[in-house]
Amino acid sequence: MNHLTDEQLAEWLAGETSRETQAHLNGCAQCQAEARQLKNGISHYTMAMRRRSAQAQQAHLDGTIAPRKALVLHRLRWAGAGVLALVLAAQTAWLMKPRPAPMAPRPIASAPVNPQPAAAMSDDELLEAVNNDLSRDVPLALAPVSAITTARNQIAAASAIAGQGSNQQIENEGEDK
Amino acid sequence: MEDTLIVPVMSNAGWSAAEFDEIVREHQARIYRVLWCELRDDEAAATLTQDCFLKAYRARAEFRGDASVSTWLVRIAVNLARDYQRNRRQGFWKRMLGGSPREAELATEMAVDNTPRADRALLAREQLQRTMEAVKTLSPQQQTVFHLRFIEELSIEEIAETMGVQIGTVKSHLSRAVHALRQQRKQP
Repeated sequence: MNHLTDEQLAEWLAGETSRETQAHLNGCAQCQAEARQLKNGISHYTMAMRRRSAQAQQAHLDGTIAPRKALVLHRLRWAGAGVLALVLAAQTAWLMKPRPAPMAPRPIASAPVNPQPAAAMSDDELLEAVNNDLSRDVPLALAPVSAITTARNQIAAASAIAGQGSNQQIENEGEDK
Repeated sequence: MEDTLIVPVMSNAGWSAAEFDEIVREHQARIYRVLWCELRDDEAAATLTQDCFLKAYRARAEFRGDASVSTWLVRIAVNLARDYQRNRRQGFWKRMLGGSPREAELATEMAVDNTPRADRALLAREQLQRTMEAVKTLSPQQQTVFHLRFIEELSIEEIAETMGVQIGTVKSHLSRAVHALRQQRKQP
């Protein structure tokens, strides 16, 4: 008994079988089993390929959407970093901006001028200034009072020489100063 | 791959932009599947799917309507896949590597997904593996015929038209595929 050829089985699998082939299949258990197994194998193959390609396509579609979201977040992060950099640059520029030198303290009457140590003062200059302060008889804060007292003493001495009558007048002048 | 293909608003021949957009939506899954089955490469299939529709849009004036839009698109996709394989020499690497690891994944998926009973799952897996092994022995053109017939369910005439060959050639390729399947079954 001749079994089905490749061509006949191919036609049957392709759904284009002849009456003769179908009749053989109905009467031949061996060909029937073989045809069924081939058909099942092709069916599994078809389903697997369809499913796998659908999964691949879906994964690709998801993959094209996810990077878009990531791109937006990425751009937002860069924008935030740019704003922060601008703020820092502006602050630095403001701090580096040259400013007018601080006003020197106005000299008070006849008191000796003792400038405050500058920020850029060297160690030697600073040490000299401290020594001057320590060697001074009157603290700087009391210099105006000292000046008044000195002036008063000088006037009093002059009055004692000039006469007692003018003492009251001289004292008034010293107070006015 | 994009959901839709952006096309110019006005076309001077063939379909309007809206009509072509609908064609893309309707056929892109099939075109992707055809390309994926031919190439087994996710990225390449996605890229060539775009190329396929772009090519179709550019050549829309040449579409005579003798064949269905689907057949026409599949023909473009098959030609793109063939060019891709030729250029990249995918066949060489496939032979060198002894097949794609995806085939093992496919077999595993089948065993897991269709498991009403363990023995049936094992049988299904074995049948799938044997079929895959048999398909691997076919020439690229024979594989294309096999896929178009059994995965895309094109008729013999549609396959002949798609591939630009005679009906007898398609039947011959199918016979060769069946021969390979039978041989594979005989192996222990």
